[in-house]
Amino acid sequence: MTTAPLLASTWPVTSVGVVVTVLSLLLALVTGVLAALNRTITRWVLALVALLEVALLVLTGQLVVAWAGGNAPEQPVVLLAYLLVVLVAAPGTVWWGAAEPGRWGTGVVCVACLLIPVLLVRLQQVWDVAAAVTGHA
Amino acid sequence: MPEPEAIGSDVEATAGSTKHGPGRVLITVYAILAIGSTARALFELATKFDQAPVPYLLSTFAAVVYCVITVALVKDTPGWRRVAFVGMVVELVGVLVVGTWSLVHPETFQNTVTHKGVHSVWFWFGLDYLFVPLVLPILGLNFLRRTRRAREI
Repeated sequence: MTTAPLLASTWPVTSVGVVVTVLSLLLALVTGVLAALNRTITRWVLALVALLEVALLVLTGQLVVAWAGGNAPEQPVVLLAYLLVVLVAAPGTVWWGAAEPGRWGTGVVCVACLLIPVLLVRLQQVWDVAAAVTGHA
Repeated sequence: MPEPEAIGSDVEATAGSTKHGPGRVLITVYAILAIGSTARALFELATKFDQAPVPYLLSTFAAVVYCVITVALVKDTPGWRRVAFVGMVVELVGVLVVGTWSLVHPETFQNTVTHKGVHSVWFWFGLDYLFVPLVLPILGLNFLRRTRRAREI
């Protein structure tokens, strides 16, 4: 960008967003295969979930920095709600799935990892809503 | 970590349960829809209810149905199992009726001021939720039917 941004809301975390999406889909693949093999959640899954959470925290940090710097989201309440769900989805389902031996416990984590990329798209839409809906009263 | 209560016996020990086996995944998906639709409905009611009362009330109804089913599946007693069954029947009828209505009478799903289209949770059979609302009650009812049979055996 050579000129000052005219739009107040421009999604500030494009590259971290890609990392989160790739990690999340990788986890979905791993847990999907483990579920197909009727395996319980393994250490590899926990390590990948930890990595995913680190990436999500970096993303959150960048959003906060952008927000504090004046690049504010158009719908802050909705954005925070999505952000909260995105952050707790993987650890929450690990907790919920760990109590269940076999494929269904692992499958629960798979569901969360398929959800996260979708939520990320929604996050971006909520952040960029000013660009999408002009003249919004 | 919760104790491994049923290792190696996930078929026998958890047969007929709504929160073990496939029920675990079912509850997860229902909980996600419950959280998503409840947050959505609260936001719609609080900020722009006047602009499209019918779609927003329908969203609220869907949210209540998803919350009831989620709780019922987690509770996992014969009584709550019946609640889950009724909830899923209401859900299936709801998504079919609202989905069909949104296609046949799109004017119901309009902003009263701008006349722009307005979505609801079950708009176009759950378009905003990747049509999961259309598939989920079928899977849920099938799960209840199969686990009831497992319990009787």
